[in-house]
Amino acid sequence: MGYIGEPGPAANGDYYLTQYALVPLIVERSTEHPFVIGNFPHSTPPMPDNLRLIRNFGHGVLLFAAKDSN
Amino acid sequence: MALALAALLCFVSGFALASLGWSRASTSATLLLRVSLAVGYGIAIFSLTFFLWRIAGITHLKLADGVIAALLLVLWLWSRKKAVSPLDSISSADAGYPAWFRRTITVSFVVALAAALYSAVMRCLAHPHGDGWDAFSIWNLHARFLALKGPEWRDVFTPAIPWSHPDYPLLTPAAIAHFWSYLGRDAAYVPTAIGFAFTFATAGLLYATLSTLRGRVAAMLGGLALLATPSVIEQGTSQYADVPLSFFILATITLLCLHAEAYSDNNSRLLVSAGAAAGFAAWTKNEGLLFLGAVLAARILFFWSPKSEAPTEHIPRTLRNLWRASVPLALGALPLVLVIVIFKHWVAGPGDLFGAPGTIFRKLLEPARYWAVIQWYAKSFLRFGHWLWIPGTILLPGLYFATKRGRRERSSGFQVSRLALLVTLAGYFAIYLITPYDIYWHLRFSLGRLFLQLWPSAIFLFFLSMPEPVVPSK
Repeated sequence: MGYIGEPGPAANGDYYLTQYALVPLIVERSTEHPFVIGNFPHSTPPMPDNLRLIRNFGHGVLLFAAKDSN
Repeated sequence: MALALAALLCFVSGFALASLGWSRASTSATLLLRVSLAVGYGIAIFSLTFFLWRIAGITHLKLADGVIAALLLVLWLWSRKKAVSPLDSISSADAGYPAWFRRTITVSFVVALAAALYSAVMRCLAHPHGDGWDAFSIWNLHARFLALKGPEWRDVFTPAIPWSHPDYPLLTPAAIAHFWSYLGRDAAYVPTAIGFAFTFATAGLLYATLSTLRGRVAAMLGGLALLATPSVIEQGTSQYADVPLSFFILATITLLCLHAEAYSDNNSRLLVSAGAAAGFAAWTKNEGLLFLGAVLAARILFFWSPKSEAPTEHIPRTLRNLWRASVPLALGALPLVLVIVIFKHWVAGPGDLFGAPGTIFRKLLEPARYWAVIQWYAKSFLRFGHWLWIPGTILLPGLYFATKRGRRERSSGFQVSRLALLVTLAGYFAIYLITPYDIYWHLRFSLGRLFLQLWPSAIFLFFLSMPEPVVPSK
């Protein structure tokens, strides 16, 4: 799976925790995947051009899909 | 029930391995020593076997673990008949201290132990998933992949998540995964319990070995020095691998000193056990690999050093004696080295330290990097323990120089151990010089923990070298 989150090194912990929680999935910090986790606990999530929102889980956690995937 | 079975098999395997070098004669101190060793050895065996079962595709864990435990038990029972007895007069030092001093030290030690236990329990409850990023981004992450990913467990070593350090050895992750496999779920209390066990097994090992070699007062002073180091409890309960590594470094050094002092260099099984402990250190963290090399090098260097021979240890420097002094140590580490070679070559991802060999030589020629590391070494030397008032690293050298005139003769075990620690410290220095990361960032976030890895061993060697108290005449 892909991952998109808040910028800056302070947000690395959010990414690491996401990977930890989602084992056995591999979560790569990239949007070049059919499915992408969004994690924005402290800010308004952006809407990346190449992704469409599938579900908003609240608390800044979202699931995106690549626009070119079915 | 499953957890109790796992804990039993783990402890029995560890106790049998830890007891291989010991005779039937046992004191409460040597029993505590073996129990403390058994905790670490058992967890290490559980880790190794889980990794090997994964490689071999073995799924009947209980049967395989039962066979290993039974084999080790049989080996131990067979070896008891041929075990060498220790020297009779190991320590009579306690009689030299006045009664009020012994009582004060006993009360202080009990208070420090109770405070450490309380603090550790509270921290475990407050941080069930560990305290700090490395717990969930490296060690427990690897454990979750090993336990939950099924046949595709090698996915954790993918280059897609290089920040998880896919080259780090698996002692703690594989042991955690092994217990989780028995439970059938990834209970957070397993890594918590393993961290707790290593922390207090380290204290137990330090106490028991000093008690055996120098008496209870020295043992309690050593225990006090360790338990009164706040970062020992902090790191021990943070679910990092630094305290487990410090345990195996201490185990190696205590066994080397016991071999030299309690058995007068006449129990090669203790050397094999010391080698195994050094091998377990290498299976815990990459710094352990450095320590393993340092121990083997120190053993050989010491043997050929013209000033090395203690007056009581007249061992001629022949190749045969070098073989006797070094081969059992290397043999003990050999199985672990083979497993590490398998892991590094066929399983692990690439490491980060030696990724750009072209820049290493250039970095070695920059004086500013040496100065930066020296400054941080000096700073961390005083701070790594998170002491409230007086750093333990000031207190112990102060005591050392205050008692300088009465110091005792140092055994070969002491001298080899001291040399191994110094070589390891120098190795850490060299790694910082060539680090691919920002040197200040790397020093800031790791040097304190590296010092902590060696701290229990430094305390042990310090109290081993303390002078005998003068027995008052009656």
